[in-house]
Amino acid sequence: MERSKKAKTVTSLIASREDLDKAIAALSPADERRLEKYAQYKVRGLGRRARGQTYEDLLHEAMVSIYEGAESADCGRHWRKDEVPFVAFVAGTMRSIASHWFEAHEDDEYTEADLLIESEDGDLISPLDAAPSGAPNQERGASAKEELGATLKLFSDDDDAVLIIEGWAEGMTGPEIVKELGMPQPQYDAGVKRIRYRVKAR
Amino acid sequence: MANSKSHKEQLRLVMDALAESVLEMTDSDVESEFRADPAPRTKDIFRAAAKQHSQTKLRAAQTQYEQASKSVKERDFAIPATAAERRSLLDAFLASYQASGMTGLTAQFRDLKSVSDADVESTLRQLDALGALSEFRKKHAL
Repeated sequence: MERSKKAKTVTSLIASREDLDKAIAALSPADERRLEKYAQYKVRGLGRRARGQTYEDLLHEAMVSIYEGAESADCGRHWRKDEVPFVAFVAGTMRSIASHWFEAHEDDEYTEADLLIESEDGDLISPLDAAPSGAPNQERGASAKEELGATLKLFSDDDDAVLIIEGWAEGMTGPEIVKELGMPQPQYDAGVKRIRYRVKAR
Repeated sequence: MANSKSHKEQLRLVMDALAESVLEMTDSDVESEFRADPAPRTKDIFRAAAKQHSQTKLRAAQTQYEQASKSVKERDFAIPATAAERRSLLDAFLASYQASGMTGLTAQFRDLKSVSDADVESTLRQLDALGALSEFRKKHAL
């Protein structure tokens, strides 16, 4: 009796299909953009492990899973609407799916992994940068190493940005970078904004 | 970049940090920073996902129905060969059913003569698929 009461309470907290329809309709333009950019950066971070899946696929798969969860206790993602804001929940679902994609294709090999070279000044240069093609790295099939090098190269005159990128690449969080590297918060925030401006989500 | 992590992992961490940074932006920063980008299609993608989910559910229900229907059709039914014998069997079944005090089914067949041979056969097939016919036969040693 006590158990079924508890089960009923838990079920009532999970959003229904109608709740999801309403939440989607109520998304503000900023939230739409926020989720789009979130998905784009996540997929860009997967590189070839995305296996041709796009940010649209990530958004789509996340929402299918959330709808499944609204109608089944056994599968999909269950949105407890009273506990987590919709945008944060969708982002969390995408985080989980992207992580799964990354792990599922762990054994993928890059075919152009050793192209990056270091100049006498210590700059990382990709031979692909000299190629006539103006296509983005993803389309040219660039490796993670090349893309990282190209990203750092964008900030050769911005020490803060390089420090932040290197911190992130080490697995540091924003607060850790602020604390451990002694970078004031406003300086960190401004650096992140510059990085976001130049490293476009796509 | 002196880092013990693989380049793939480093790239993922950098892009993940950028993704997370977007979640922390204010609405006005989001709007001004990405002003030049084409309009987002997020809602359209979500609505397409909702539609796909509904269609998948519908297809699954259809498949289940078709399979159930197919299994009833393909079943080797133990029903009499002639229309008269089938009608007689259903009549006996309904009488027994009525005698047991259950009237829900018998109300539909109050006047069995007006029920077509096809309906009689179909009803017997359904009763057989449900196991009710074999139970009836066992009970009455038919």
